[in-house]
This record gives sequence, C-alpha cells and structure tokens, in this order.
Amino acid sequence: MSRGDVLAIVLAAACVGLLYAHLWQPAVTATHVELRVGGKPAGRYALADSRDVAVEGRLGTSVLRIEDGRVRFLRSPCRNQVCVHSGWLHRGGDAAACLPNRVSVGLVGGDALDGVAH
Amino acid sequence: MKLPESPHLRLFLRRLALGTGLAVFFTWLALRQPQGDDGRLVQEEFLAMGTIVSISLYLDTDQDRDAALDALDDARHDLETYAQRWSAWGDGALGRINRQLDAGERVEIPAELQPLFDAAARLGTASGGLFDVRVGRLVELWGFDDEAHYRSAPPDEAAIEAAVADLAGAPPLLPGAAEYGPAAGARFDFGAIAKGEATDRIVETLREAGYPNVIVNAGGNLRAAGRRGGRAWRIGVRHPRPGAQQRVLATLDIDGDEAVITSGDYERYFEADGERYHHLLDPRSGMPARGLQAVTVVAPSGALADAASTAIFVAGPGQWRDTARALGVDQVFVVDAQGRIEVTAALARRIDFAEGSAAITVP
Amino acid sequence: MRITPSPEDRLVAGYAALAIVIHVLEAGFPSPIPGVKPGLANVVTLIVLLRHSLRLAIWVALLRVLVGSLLVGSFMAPGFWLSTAGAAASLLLLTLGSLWNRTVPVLRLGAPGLSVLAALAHMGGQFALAYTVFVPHPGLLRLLPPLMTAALAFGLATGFAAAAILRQLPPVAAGRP
Repeated sequence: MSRGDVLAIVLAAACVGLLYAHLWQPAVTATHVELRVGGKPAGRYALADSRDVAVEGRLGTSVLRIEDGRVRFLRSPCRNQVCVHSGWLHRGGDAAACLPNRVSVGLVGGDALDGVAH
Repeated sequence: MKLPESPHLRLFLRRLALGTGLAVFFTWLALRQPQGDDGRLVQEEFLAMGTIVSISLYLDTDQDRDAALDALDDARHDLETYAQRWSAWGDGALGRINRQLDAGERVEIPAELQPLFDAAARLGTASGGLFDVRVGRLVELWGFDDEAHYRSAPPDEAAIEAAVADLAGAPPLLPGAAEYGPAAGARFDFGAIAKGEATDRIVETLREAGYPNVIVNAGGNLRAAGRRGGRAWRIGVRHPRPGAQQRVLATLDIDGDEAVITSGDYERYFEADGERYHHLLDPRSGMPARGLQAVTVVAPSGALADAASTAIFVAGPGQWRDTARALGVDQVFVVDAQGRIEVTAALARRIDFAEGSAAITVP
Repeated sequence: MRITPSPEDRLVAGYAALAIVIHVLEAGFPSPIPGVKPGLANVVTLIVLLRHSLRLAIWVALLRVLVGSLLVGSFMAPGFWLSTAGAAASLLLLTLGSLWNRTVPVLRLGAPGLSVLAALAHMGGQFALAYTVFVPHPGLLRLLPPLMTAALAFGLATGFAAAAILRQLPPVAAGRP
C-alpha cells in the first residue's frame, strides 16, 4: 500500500464517520409507521395496532404487516424482493423501501406528545 | 516518552492506536444517548386551581438544571397566589367580592383584578353574552363549583329559571369598570378564563427568568412558547369519546407562542336518566349547552383561547363559526354531537386529525 | 461487411465477459444486508484501469452494467438505473483518481485507495439516485451510514483482491494497450 492509499482510506473512513455523526441517531422507541409512496406521505399507522396495510405503488400493491410493535413488507410486486428481505423493523428510525414500487416505510418515535389538551 | 526502536513494533503501535481510536468512536456512536434532548427537559407537576398543573422547560445547553427547578418553584408560588386571588369561593380578592355581592353591596374591583375583569368584560360583550363571568350562582346551583358538590340529578327547573332571571336582571359587567353592583343575582366565576390566563402568566414569568422554551399544561389547558430543542412542541387534542385505540383526536405542532385549549362536555359532568349534564352552562337557559361534544381553540393567549372555547361551545353547532369570528379567533375545530368534525381553514392547514376522522373545513 | 476487432476490442470483450460473469454470480446470491453487494466485479474494472487505461476501464464497466442487467433481468428497472448511477459515480472518481496520479505522483493511489474511493462513490451515487428520484423518504437517510460502512469494507476487500491479482499478473507487453 502506498502512502496515497493510506491517505485515501483514512479520508474515506473519516467521511463515513461524519455521515454517522450527522445522520445516525440513537435508536428511540418507535410508535408509528410512516408510509410514503414516491416520497409523498401516504399514511401513518400506530405500531400498537396489529394489522395489514395495503398500499398502491407504481407497480401494484405492497402489503405491510404491523404486528407486536414492528412492521415488515409482507408482499411487494417487485422482482428482487429486497424490501421483503429487509425483514422486521422495530426501532425508531428504521426504514425500508421497495424502490421499484416507490413505497417506503420509516418508523418514527420520539415525537411523543408534549401535552394533550382536554 | 521515548518511542521504541523497532520499526515493526512502531508500526504495530500505530495500527493499534488507529484501531483503538476507531473502536472508541464507534462505541461512542452506538452508546450515544438521546441526551441533549430529554436531559435538557425539566419538569414540575403540582396541584393548583383545582387541577394538575405541569410545567416543562427545555433548557439551553448552558443552563443549569437546579436553577431551572428554582425558577419552576417560583412560578408555582406565583400560581398559588394567583389561584387564591381568583378563587370564587375562597378568601382571596374574588371571594371577598362575591361575599360583598351576596350581601347586596356595591363592590370595588381591586386594581390587581382589573385587567382580567376588563378582558372578561370585552370577551363577554363580543360573544353576545355566551361567555359570562357572572354565572357563579348557576355554577353553584349545578354543583360544578366543587367536585364534592356534584349532583346526581339536575336542579329544579324553577330554581334554574330563577337563577337565569336573576342573572339577566343583574347589571352587565362593563369593560374598564372599577366598580360593580349591587347585583344580588350575580356571582363572579372566572373558571372559564383564569386557568388560561394563569398559563400566560407562567410563560411570561419563566421567559423573564431566562427560559423561553416552555410548555404549560393546566388541567388540559395547554400553553407553549419556544420550541423543544430541535423540534416544535407537539400537542395532542383528546378525543371527546375516546376508544381503546383512539385517545387522541388530533395533533399539531406549536412553534412559537400559542395556547391550545379545549372545552368539552366530558370534563366535569354527571349523568342522570341517561342524559349527560356537563359544566359548560348556557347563561341564557341555565342548562348545559347542547349540540357539541368539544371545541378546541388555538390562539395567541391562554386567556383568549380559554374564554373563546367556552363561548364557542355554548354557541352550538349552527353559531359557532360566527361566535369565533366575533371573538377574533380563526383557528378552531368543533366536534358535534354525532362526532363530526368541523375545522376552520386556518387551523386545517396545520392540524393532523387521527386516521379515520374526517374533518370538514369551513371558511 | 466484416467487423475486424482490434486487439483493444478483444481485451475489452475479455475483461467485460469476466466482469459480467462475476456480476451475474453475485446477483444470484442473496445478500445478508438488503441492497448491499460486495461489488466484486469492480476488481476487474480496477485491474483494467491499473494495468491498461482509464478508457478501457470505462468501457468494461459500462458493458458490464448493460449486459449484466440484461442477463439478470433488471434492464431499465430501478436496479439498472441504480447500477448505472453507481457505475457512473465510481468511474468519475476513478477518472479523478487517474488525474490525481498524474499530477501528484508522490501520493500515488494504488488499487486499495482507488477501490475504497470508488466503492464509496458507487454507493453514494446509487443512494443519491434512489433518494432523490425513487423514494425521497427522510427516514431512509438513516440507512446511509451503515450502507457506506459496508461500501468501505467491501471497497477495501476488492482493492486488496485487485492488488493481489495485479501482483500475480505478468506485466503488460510493450506496444499493447
């Protein structure tokens, strides 16, 4: 390895480290699933309610299963099934997407209410 | 420290230092607590004005927790003094006024009470009498003045009619008045505005003490200022008929300085013969106002939101929008007896209703 | 009409064929982390770059993406565009790397350095396209750091593999591209 290589690798590692510092938040308790189609909000569901959610994407219907405070892609009309293989998501900030169908889910939490008017 | 001579050892040490550095960095990332967030939230909860008051402060990075707790204690004492002053039946300033009225005397409104008397008089006039602080006798008749006085059946019709007639015969409360009465039929009850004003005072006191990021919850009357660190304060509005799944009907963010106050028929009520009798009394009929389950008002001040939510509730399904206009509040939503939601356009833009709740936007 | 392949064409074809085989084989294996592939086909690109020229390397990489995705069946699907974006970004970085090597020969980049930078660029390009065009969901940004970590690790691995292979290969005969 040349000195140039070492420099490049250290720089690359520093970049990745910076990404963590900026984008990686510690896991928080998730309370909701936020659903988007093509980036546009397409629904928000409480993780507490077990249910299947069907969502129309670009290719067809993706089915999400919410169960025991977690969520996963159950079916999706994409060929590679990366979304289905992503498996269960349960921490706040976890996310998965079906690119071909333009459907993405993200777990949100930490936006617990600061107060309830009554 | 002298570095070892062997180049291999030096290389090894260099690598070791690099590896350790990386390991420490990633461990730090993984273990980083959501600190900086909850660690900067200071909360105090206590009983005042017959309800639970909770105050939360979001500290700046350089602010001290203990100093903040002291500021909260000061706010609490201030609130206790305030509560005593405005208690309709206690031995504070308002209690004395009520006893003098009972005795048929003309009363002088002390200077410390005048600003809120003035505000109440203005709001009362603007609402066409739907909001009225002179309803103390009616409140008492219905037993809503104290939890211990709750009734199991509505009062006599004759007694209600007499109280309504007395109220109608009592002189109006005029803006800027320094005196009132004699008016044997009137008794002041600031229950529908004082809690809201109290939240304004707390926010103001804490702001002056150097805490601009505050949320106050006075028995469900919410008043927020500033932000909760990186995000706005998030407010929920209780569902008037909550189910197992749906306790919150709507959520909205408060970024700045606003009050969210709800008046509902579920707050203080009793049931008799399958009928719900709640504390939001219509001064014109002496009966609990019918037609709505809940009214939520978002306004720049707690006093305004509190009084307006009461007046709008009393106005009822057909008139609520006009009353809101007359009071100068444009962010309102109401839930009618069937559970249908109507929301003003200004509020619809920023509020999220829970899934499955359809809201009709009205101009 | 006859098309006579030049020696360079033969070279591109051979390397591209190798890269395509690796690409297809890799697509056949389920990945432990969804969306992350080791990118072993990049070894070929690197070798071509270091042994021959940037121009050849670009040809090999683009042919690999085109033919590979035709074979895997993702042609014109998001997967194809992602591969293209990734390849374009990594080739851009390899180009910059070649320029760097020409201007600052003291800090010359070898296979490991080029590979790591190209891998990060590849992942970054893919993610940028996925995020801006396909699913702009802010929650997905959280996936970027781990994805980049994987890219860093695989970039190192392919870089060292390429370096090891380069050492075994005979030097390029003079006069050949």
